Amino acid sequence: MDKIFIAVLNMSLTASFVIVAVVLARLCLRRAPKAFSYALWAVVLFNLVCPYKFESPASLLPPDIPAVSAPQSQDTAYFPTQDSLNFGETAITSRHEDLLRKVVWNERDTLAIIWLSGIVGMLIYTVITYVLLKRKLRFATKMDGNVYETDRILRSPFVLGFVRPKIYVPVGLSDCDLDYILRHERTHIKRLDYIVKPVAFLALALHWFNPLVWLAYFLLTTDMEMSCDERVLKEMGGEVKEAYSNALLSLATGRHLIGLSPLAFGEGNTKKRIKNVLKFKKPSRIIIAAAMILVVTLTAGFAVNRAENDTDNLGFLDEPETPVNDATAAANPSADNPVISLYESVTDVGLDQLIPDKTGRIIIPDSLYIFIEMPNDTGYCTLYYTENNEISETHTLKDYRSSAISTSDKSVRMYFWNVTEEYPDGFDGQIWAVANSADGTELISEKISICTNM
Amino acid sequence: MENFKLYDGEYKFICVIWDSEPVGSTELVKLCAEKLGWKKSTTYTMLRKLAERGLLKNENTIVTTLVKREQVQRFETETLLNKMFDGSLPSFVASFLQGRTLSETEAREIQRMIQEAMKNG
Repeated sequence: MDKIFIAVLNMSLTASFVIVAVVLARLCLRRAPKAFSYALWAVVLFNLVCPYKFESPASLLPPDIPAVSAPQSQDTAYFPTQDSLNFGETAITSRHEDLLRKVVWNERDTLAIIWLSGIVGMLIYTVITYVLLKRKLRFATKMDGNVYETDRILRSPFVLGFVRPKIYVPVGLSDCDLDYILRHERTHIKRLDYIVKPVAFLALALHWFNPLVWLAYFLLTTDMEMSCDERVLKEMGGEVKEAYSNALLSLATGRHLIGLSPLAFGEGNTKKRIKNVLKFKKPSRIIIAAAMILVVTLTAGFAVNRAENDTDNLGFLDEPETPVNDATAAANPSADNPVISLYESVTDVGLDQLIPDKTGRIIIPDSLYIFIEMPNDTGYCTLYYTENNEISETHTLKDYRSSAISTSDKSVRMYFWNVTEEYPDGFDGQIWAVANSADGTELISEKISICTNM
Repeated sequence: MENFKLYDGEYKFICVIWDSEPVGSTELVKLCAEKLGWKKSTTYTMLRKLAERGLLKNENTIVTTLVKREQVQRFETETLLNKMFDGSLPSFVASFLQGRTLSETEAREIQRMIQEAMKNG
């Protein structure tokens, strides 16, 4: 849960950057067909829902963008500050700070719960409005094919449905208006916009806390409508501009419930659309070519991550040997100044996690501090380790110096392990912690791979 | 006056029945699927709704209406008259005649209706 939340924060951050870029690009595309602006949102959507990206040495994403790491996000804002990016260098000398961070661990759980409730709230709202609308449309009567008319909706026609979408129009439209409306709605259906919009809405629900994503959603909707208008005009010829605008205008009266249900197409934004319709003319080849280049470049540039060896920052980690979660982005540990950051607690008992360096290996200092985060009611906790060359054998880690540090609601224990003294030839194995809670249940942390013989 | 306010869907549905009553409900489902694009359940829901309002009855799967087309038409006209013309018949007729010419036969027919109505009053 927590991990997903962190991953979404990371995606939100990356996507925010892309949204700003797309909004700027849209300004350049003002005179180009709106279909290009519409196409640009695809890469935003991709960044909003897909945490994995192809690696490429050339990317438009700045290297330090996807860097909300688990420990920082709780007490600093969601955005990495200079401080949090430098976290690596200061880590070993600021152990106490780390412990303080652990104290506020619960705040992150709270945030994750708020986030989840927001999603659930939005989905419930949508389902309810959808069901209510569907109920209202129950007795709509068929005109022709998939076109239904009803007097239960206000003056806006729209498309509704996922599998075989239907077009709903108010009763009493003039034949001329109806013709334009149907062309417009059929274009929506042909372009599968009735799928795009709900998908975009799901992404919005996932990122509801990010105002830029709301902006993106509304701009996407506008671009979708305008490019649809343009397509109709292109098919029918520019002469019908006035008549088409009139049809739009005659349907524009009254704000409607439909606009609230994100799964239907209300015909919002009439003023903007009419302006766009009236200034419609066949775009020149140069503009189209330029727009095409811009869209392709941005889309390709934002769909890939910078390759790792290109940069000091790692972005999303992809280290198969260690259970580092993808979102725990790292700072840059140098060999003589290793980083120990907080472990992402999944089972309620967790070990501090070592961050692999540029080469993907873990470097640990001569002596290793291990912090264990334990559940509230835990009686005691034991550390185990096993070496890779004796996989079947499990040892209890000797407790060189253990000190329990109690916090308000979580207890944190600190171990000190002199690795070089115990393993002069290097240690290669795994450590994990087992906590016993008061009611006798055992909680086991994930295993951490450690390798010192480089 | 009874409330015969019908939504578009309800009106079209009852029109189907007026055209073919008495009609078996299975037959009605078929007719509604063809003319209104309705599913079986939609037709039955509507049947129940209008039966509850006392506009039609469904006995032994035979559906008959309990209101006449003229009653519904009259209700609609009077609603319109009250809503748009403050109940004033002359201003209603004036608006109706505006920008349209009547044929000889139409005019005579209307004349006859007016005289009829005056006699009754």
